[in-house]
Amino acid sequence: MIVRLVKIFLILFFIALTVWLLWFDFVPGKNLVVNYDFCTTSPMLTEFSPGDRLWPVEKTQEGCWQKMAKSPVYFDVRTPQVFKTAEVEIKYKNLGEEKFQIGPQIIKNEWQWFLVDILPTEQTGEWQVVKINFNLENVYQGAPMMRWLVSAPNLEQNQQSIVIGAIKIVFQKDRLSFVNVTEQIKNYLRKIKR
Amino acid sequence: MMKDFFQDFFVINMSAFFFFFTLELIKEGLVSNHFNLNIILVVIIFSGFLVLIYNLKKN
Repeated sequence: MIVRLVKIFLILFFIALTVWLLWFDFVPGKNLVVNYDFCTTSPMLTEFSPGDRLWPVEKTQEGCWQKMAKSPVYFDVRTPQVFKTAEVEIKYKNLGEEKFQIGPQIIKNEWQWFLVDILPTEQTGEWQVVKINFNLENVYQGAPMMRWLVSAPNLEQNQQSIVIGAIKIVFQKDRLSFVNVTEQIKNYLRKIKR
Repeated sequence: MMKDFFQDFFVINMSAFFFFFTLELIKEGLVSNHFNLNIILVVIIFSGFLVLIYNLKKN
């Protein structure tokens, strides 16, 4: 009897896990928050690449960061749904006050980017923190990954470097409702790898 | 009885692992964004080891 109960529990556990994973992946709410602090890797956001343009990640008790030596560098974000906007919060040090931009790729496999200048804001300690809003309606979202570019075009020429301490992206869409359920299911299915 | 139990336990975990693995292949990130599949792999190896022990004991 106990053996049978354990087996039933195990089967129900895997069914519940599947439903839970599908629910989280579908993003029924308004927001999806993706964090990368360089101390721990995030399954939703890849490490910066290519490696030869970056110094290795430095991990200290005060936090972790990575220095950009050449430009541009990329990272990919796994977006399980189609989103309307994204709010990017970036913590950085730009001591040389270099031109510094960030943005998503507009068309897949094309060199077209929706780049926005990261302008100096009020400083919190050694770091500067800036928030930028992106309208993603014209950005290609048919693939499971969304590529982002961080650019500082004169970095190598001026022999400067930019230190990035954290990136947080809040993706936003409409909350799941009876009105948009078919549209959101279609958007979700579009993300299936082809 | 314990042998049958561990065999069933092994098969259920193995099926679940391949099911989630297939889901991940179909839609990247569906499983791996929220759950580490290696956890099930560890249970499979452990239960497989127990199945072997019980089979050897029987012989």
